[in-house]
Amino acid sequence: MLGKLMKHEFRATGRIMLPLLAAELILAVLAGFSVRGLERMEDMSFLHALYVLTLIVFGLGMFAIAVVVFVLMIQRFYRSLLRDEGYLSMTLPVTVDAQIWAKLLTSFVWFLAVGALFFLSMFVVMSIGSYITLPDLEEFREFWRSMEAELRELGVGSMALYLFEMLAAVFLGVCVTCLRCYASMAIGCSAADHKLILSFVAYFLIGIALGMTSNAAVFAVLPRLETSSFFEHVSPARFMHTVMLGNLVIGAGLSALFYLVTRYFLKNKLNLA
Amino acid sequence: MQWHFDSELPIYAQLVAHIKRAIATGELRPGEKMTPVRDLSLEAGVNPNTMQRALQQLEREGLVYPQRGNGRYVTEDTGVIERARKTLAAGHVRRYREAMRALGCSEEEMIGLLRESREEENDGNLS
Amino acid sequence: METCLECRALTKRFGSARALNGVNLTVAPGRVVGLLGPNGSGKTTLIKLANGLLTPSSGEIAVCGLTPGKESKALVSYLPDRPCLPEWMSGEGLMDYYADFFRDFDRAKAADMMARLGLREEQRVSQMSKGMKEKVQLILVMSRKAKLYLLDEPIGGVDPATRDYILDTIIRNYAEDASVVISTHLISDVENVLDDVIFLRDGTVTMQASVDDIREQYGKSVDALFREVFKC
Repeated sequence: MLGKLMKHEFRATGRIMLPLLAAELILAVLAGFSVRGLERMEDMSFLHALYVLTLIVFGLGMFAIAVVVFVLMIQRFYRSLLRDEGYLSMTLPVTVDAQIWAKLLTSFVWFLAVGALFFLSMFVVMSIGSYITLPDLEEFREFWRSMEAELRELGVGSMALYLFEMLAAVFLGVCVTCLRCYASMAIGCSAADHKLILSFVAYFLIGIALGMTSNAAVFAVLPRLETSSFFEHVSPARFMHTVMLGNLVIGAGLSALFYLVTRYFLKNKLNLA
Repeated sequence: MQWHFDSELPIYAQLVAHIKRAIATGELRPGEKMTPVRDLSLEAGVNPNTMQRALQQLEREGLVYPQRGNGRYVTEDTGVIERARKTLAAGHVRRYREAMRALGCSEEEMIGLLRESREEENDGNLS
Repeated sequence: METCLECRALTKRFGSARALNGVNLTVAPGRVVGLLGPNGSGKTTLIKLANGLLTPSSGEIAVCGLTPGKESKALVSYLPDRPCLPEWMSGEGLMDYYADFFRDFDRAKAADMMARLGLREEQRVSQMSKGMKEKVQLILVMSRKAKLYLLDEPIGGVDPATRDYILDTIIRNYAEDASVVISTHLISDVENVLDDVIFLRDGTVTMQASVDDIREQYGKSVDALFREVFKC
């Protein structure tokens, strides 16, 4: 059933996201030509203004899409599960887990798509604007090899592992962001009234709790770090990976926590108006 | 058939009376196949269980009979139909007498009024 | 045979207020049951509990022997007391949606009912009038072959022709293994299609009896009895 939920989730979000992504790509092409045009132009003509305007619209468009993908993540969860549409979606023969995963995975795909759009449109602007030529695959391999060599010299391990850790961090970062919003809304909407306000309150209270916990953790760990010989014996690579791994563990822990809170409130404290 | 329901009597009893009347007046002919329960309840706008109960009552009274897997039929026994007709007529007579008695009419007056009413009807038909 | 809906000592509290207080009731298969009571008597709360939209504070509720959850939801066809269809979807999209999630959904039947009521499949919910939305919702709910239909105020605020159509659909849809629970305060309109009635008052069941038994016993319609019992 998760597949079917996701299919309909993509239908609901795709009708908004796909035209936006397509429009931004078209804007990227126009922005590329604007850059090219601007290079050849010195005077302040009407065309000049138009080029500048195109670039501004392209930039704002990128920003707007980033906002939309975030708002859509929140709105889809709130509207389709916790308001009137919940009478339909929460009476489907599916588990609460499937509902949460469908929302999470769909949002995740759109976050990725926006990320990809960012790089793709930058590439389009630059290649049309003739700042760079199409990258040579051999050149890229060369770059990768040199980076790896340099890292090895520093004794910080393999490039691929860093890349993997970075991607995992991004993945968990998106998960934590989404699930924290989901948990806040699930808590806020369990009340009879003022659901939206209480959702915000829940969000900020979670923030305060997280801040306090991390402060407490830092104060607990710092004095020990000062006296320990950890830094003297550990290799830079080991240190970097420890930090990265710690980051991942915290991300996974928070995701799991927010997931369980969301699940509990949707399952036991649902209170559709 | 036009279905109309009183609010004081059980619905099933009113359904029984309604169908009985249709059989007695010949609206439903002897041996005629009855409309299926579901359609009949749709027509009357009542619950199918209630209609079923009414038809079972009519079965017990011998006015309709089931044929296995082939629905229900109006009885061909004209004696049973005649008895039902008489019972219905007797009911009307009883209600007539009750109403007249409530108005303070004597037996003679009732009969006299009936006769008068018939003559009026005949006159109306002639003119 | 297994009951379609069963409540034992069912209680639901919202804060300190008790919306339902120790409700015991049974709905057998093949029955059309009226859940009757004034506004705020707990009708909607009871229906939401049966749908798993609320969790009991204490006591038990079972749909076809199952605690409300994924499995029970596949057996229940629910008409909420408010519009809940996503505004951006079309009639066609909604039928896709129902067909995807409910195995017992009869798409041909739904399409036929939509055509009969003059609804266009390609029209979006946002472009429909309030009455049209209600009709689409009813069509989707009644086009399933469910074991339990929970209809919350299906005839509140609809025109007489639609009301007749709804009651007709309920009769037409009747099946011996399924039951229908209709919550309403407009009793005279539904009385003839009901087998049994359940009177709810301040979260407690004050009566569960068959319509004809009530008429036989009290010599008056359920509507008249209701007006007497719930006189302000």
